Amino acid sequence: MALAKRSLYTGAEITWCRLCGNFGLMSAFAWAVEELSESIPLEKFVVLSGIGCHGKIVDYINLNSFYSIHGRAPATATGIKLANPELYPVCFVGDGDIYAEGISHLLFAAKRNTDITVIVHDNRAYSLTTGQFTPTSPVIFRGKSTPEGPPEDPINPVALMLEAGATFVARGYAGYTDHLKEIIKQAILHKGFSFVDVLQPCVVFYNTYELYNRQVYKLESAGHDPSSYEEAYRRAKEWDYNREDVRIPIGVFYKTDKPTYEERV
Amino acid sequence: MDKTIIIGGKAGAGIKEAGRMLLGVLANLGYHAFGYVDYPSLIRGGHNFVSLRFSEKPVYSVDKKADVIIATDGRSIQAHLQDAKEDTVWVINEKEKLEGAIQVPFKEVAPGFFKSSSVLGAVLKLFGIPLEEGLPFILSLPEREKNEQIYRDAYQATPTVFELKKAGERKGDVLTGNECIALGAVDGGLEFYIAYPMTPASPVLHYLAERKGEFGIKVIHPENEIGVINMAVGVAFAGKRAMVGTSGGGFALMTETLSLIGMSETPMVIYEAQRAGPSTGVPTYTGQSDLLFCMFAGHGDFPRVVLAPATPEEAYRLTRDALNIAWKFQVPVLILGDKHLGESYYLSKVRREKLVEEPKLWEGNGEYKRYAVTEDGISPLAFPGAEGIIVKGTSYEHDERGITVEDALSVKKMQDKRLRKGETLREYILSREDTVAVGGVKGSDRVLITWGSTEGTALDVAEEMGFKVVRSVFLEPFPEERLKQEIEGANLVISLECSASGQFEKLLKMHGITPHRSLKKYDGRPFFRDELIDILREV
Ligand code: SF4
Repeated sequence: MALAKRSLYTGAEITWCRLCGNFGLMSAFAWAVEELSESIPLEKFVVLSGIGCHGKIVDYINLNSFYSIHGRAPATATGIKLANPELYPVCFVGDGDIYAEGISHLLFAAKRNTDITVIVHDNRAYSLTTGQFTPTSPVIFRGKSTPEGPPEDPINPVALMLEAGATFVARGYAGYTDHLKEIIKQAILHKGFSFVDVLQPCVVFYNTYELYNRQVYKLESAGHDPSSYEEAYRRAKEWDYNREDVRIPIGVFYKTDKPTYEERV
Repeated sequence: MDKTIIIGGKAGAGIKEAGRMLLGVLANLGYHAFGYVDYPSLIRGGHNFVSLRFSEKPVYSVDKKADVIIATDGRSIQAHLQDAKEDTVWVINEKEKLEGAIQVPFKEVAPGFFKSSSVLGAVLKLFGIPLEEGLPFILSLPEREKNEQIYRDAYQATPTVFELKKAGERKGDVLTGNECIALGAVDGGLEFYIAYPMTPASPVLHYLAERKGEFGIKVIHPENEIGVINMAVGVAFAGKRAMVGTSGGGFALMTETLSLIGMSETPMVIYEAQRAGPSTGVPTYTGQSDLLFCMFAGHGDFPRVVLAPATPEEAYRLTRDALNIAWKFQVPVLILGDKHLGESYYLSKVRREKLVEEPKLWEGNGEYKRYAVTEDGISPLAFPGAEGIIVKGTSYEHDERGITVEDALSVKKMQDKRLRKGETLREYILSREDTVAVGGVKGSDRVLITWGSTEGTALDVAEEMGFKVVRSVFLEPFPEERLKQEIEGANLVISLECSASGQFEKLLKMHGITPHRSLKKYDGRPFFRDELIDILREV
């Protein structure tokens, strides 16, 4: 039986909360893969995850997978790509997972331009551990470990990845699945390190649907030129993660070509 | 003739190189020889020395007290006064003073670099070895002409004190344990060596990086040890043979992933070159105190192999085997070495032969299940990318397909599968001939029981002191029965190890073996031969 005729879902029971942003993200990815399967055989995909609500995605998606450990998925994906350059590793990681525990692996994957795709389920909360602040939570986030709000400011992962040398930097929104699907397709097809930070509302610990529906705008509609690093950086800094009254750009911020790690080692 | 020669000087002055060249000359003359390398953790200055022992009989250790002390600087004289005997011959730099010492011009090729040629010239003349014996070594150095000149000058300036005759056929090549670990890995089918620099494992990284083209392997240096081991997991998951190398502190960082390896059943070889701990400890010195850590590292229950070579030949053979065992059983295999084995110079005959055993591969019928429950506990391997199948590896408890489960029945079922695999592995390891090594006076009822590189000194004192030497080559699974057989009826069993708390002794006791005495050394130095003889005389 050819893989393409199989469902892209394993049939494992999905245990995400109803209306969780993870659903939109997973659908966008599945559609992207379906469309890409005309040029990339399904068996060439390997999806990886870290630990958190997002991690369950590897159980649900009927593709090669590696359910990694907290923060380490990009390192494992790099190993997979080095061992078999024909594969397309796609890491699903969480914001707590990758911007805290896994930050060094993320920075180095970007620095190396290793040809993998990292998709961050950025719900700005540790959810599976029942609600603590993450590196992208705003100071008004009242978490169980910081009831008065985090005593530190959030990082801006888009700006961080531009600085680290990622050759494809994007932000998507799980509420706009068609738009997200297009970004994911481009990210997977991009030769080099692709980074997609996805605004993924957690309806239980940090429901941001209303905020994002109100503030999000698409870079394409604003005439953004993704080949300009300076433009990309300016757009990346447009959103202060502590504020709810500024506009939030989504789309491809930056895209450039550079030899990949796999070609250079 | 059985002599120990100390060569001392500043770091960066070519002391190690002088020792290695001298060992090469002695090897060509048919002697057995061994070189202990002692250096602090700094790049220039300080005090380095190499201690060499050679004899017509096999040697695996040096004496603390030397017959000849070559001091290329003033500090070396002070440092080694304590290592001199009444009749020790001192050869010192012409600029220094010491009563009765021979003064020689120890010249540098360039300021601060390479006194090794003049050292070699002086030692060869001291032992009456023809100048030509050293020339091939000198001529392979950079700046040939300058090196040759100072070699000849030093030779000229030194009197002959000993008459060293040719002892027979060449006994082997000068090799370090680390070089043999590297070669063994390559011949076990290594495709990726991944490591973050850490003494004393780094020489493996450097050796392989320099020859990666020749060996057809990739050598990768990632951001930290956590990146190292997780990258290696990815490589193995995708079907390629990987090995990582580190020392205690780096291995501590890897332990989270060691458990992942256990759960995901990823084949992995980890070289852990021990240094004197705890923590940063004494980075360039030796120890055997990571033993229990390596036996028990990682959370949760999963099978593993821990083995410890004692000689370069064994380092070669066991590293080659380690790769095959890791793939055969889809488990982590830890090669527990130390600075002493890794960086000392041995004369060795390593006959290289590639040996890559095929693991249990999936035959291609029906749906592929990464964690298929089998009788021997080993699930057939397949790798992502193969058409028509899906490979799901995971850190989570899982069903046969690799999908997360948490219900009691499934959890137990998979734990049982891994336990059965552990049993299969145990039977395989314990049925091997080489789980225990026996040497020394085999019929003696006095036993030195030891592990790893410490065996070298034990073997060197065995005959003189009337001891049988028993060594545990595999530490996990532990060859309890074999060890018990070997010490049965012994009147005196002494455990010998470089650990302050007696970790090996504890391991023996866990398995119902209680040594009568326990000798522990934990000053970062290996047991010296004369030192051990003195201790054993008092026992
Ligand atoms: S807790 Fe939040 S992130 Fe987790 S599944 Fe529920 S809504 Fe989604």
